[in-house]
Amino acid sequence: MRLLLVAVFFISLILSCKKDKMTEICTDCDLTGISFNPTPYSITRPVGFGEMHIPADNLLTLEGIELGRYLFYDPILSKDSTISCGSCHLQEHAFTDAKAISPGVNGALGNRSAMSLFNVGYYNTGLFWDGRSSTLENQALEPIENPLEMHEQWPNVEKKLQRSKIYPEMFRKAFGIDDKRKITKELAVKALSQFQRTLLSYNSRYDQIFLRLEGFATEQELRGYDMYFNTSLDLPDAQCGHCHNGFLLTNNGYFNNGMDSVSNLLNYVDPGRGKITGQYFDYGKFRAPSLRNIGFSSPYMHDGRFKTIVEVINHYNDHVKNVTNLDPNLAILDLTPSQKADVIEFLKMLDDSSAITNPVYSNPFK
Amino acid sequence: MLLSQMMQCMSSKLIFVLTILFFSFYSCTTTEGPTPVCEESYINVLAKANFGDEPLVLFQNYDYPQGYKIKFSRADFMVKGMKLSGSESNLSYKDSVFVLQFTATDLAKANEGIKLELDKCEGEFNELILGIGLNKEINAKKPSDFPSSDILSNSFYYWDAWKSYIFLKIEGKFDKDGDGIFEGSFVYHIGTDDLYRIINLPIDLKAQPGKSNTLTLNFDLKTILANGGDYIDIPANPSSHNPGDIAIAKKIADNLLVAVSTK
Repeated sequence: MRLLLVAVFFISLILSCKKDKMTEICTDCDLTGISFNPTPYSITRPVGFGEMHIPADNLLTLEGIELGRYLFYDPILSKDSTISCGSCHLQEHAFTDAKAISPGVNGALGNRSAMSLFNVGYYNTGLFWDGRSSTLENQALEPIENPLEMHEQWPNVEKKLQRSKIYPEMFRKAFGIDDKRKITKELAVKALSQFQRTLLSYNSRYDQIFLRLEGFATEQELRGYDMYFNTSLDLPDAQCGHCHNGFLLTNNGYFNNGMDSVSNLLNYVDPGRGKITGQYFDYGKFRAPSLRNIGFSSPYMHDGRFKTIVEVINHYNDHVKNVTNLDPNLAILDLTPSQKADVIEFLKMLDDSSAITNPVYSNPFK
Repeated sequence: MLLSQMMQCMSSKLIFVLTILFFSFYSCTTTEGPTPVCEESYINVLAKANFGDEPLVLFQNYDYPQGYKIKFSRADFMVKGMKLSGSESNLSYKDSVFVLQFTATDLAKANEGIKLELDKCEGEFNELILGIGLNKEINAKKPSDFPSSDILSNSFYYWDAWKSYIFLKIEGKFDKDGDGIFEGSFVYHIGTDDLYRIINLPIDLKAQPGKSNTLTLNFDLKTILANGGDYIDIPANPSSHNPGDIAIAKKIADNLLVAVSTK
């Protein structure tokens, strides 16, 4: 034991002769001249919404949120400064990008569609289509280094942020660092997460009428509601509400919704949840996304294969493939054209135009 | 400047050396504390699901009493207030509400069961009590009434049309014509205040430190769907979630009283 410790000691001595980053002379690194007095921010809970869990080590502040907003829209986070988070998550498209597959640096294409970020702070069963990240902070680490997305390395991002004219002061104000060389990826993703937790959408007609009890739905919307949630014996179950329910309009689960027929689940081109859990019967499962703002977030499904809501309804009505792990809630619906129109009319109630134009969420560089 | 930096470097190394020496001597001493009374011998409830005499393996075929094969893809039970009751003391499980999810897709996992450890290793108990579902006070709430870290915040176990939490989910497929293709699905969910069931199971547990104090709690899905041969006609009634038609849901809830047992 002692011999080992002595060896460790000598190795440490040798290594300690290298220059430490923080002991390098830096004439403009000191940030202590900038005041650090962050303003706590608490999310106002919309009517019908639950309380969002905020991690104790990343409480929201106005300064942290503002920094996160800048980082979210700043393309310097990518390798060639062409792609920001906001490139694939555009506010006007409910923080999706209206593309089936989002292009990354140099036009590289992955295999999945950008997910909406509204109300993402409430997601508690994993992020991404396959749920591989458990927190927003972990999630935000990934796209930066994904070669199909921003294709950058975090050490480079840290250097770029440290050299920036605006960020050292913003990091100081948000997190109290005393030296700009203390800007790290951990702080960057904290700020990004703070901003994303503020991206709320709660002012659709659905919210107004069914959660806030203000005003009335039309007859057609009510028929759509009844089929969506299966509340009537006289109308068929459109089977939407099993997976897309609650105030988020998702139950946060992972399902195979029968889009592709395979004889062996391992044959799925995109294994989805199965790749994360390693469980055979999770192959081909994907997160049930929120249907809030569905009218602004086409195309649909994890690979963006459906361009319109009509195509989605038609899939569930009579095109679902009977694979081994197909969600049992899904069966041939046989909705009539007018019933389909009723469901679509209800789905339109989930759009919140105030959220997609809210200046608080917008690009600060424009 | 250079001299100052060297001095600073030397003093850091001195501290480092002293730290290493301190830990090298400290690491040679031994510490012995009192042995915990309950070390590795807590009272355990081992929850298992089965279909009749067979362990429940998801996606495996089972013979349904109506004369065709079925297979399950989900068997989840919301449990409230699980406790052991004795003449002198009660012992409650740490979570007042939790969901038992039987997810085994192979026999070995199915036989393992789900271990629920109670934080005690001694006492005499004569009853295991658990609720399947939620009492009306809690069930009057909805997911938005709970912080997103709470299991009851998850709408996965809430059904808007009932204004109720979902007390159990049993889902799967059936092959009615026996051609090997499971052409139909069944989705049995139950909820609403009237279908909350409290199950009282007599036990004889004299738990002592150092002994294996394990109770096995069985959930028999065959009894839930086909108690005593009075089976649910699955193809005719493949679901139970319409609020206007609770006959199937009530039957399942009542069957729970005999389908849940201890060994």
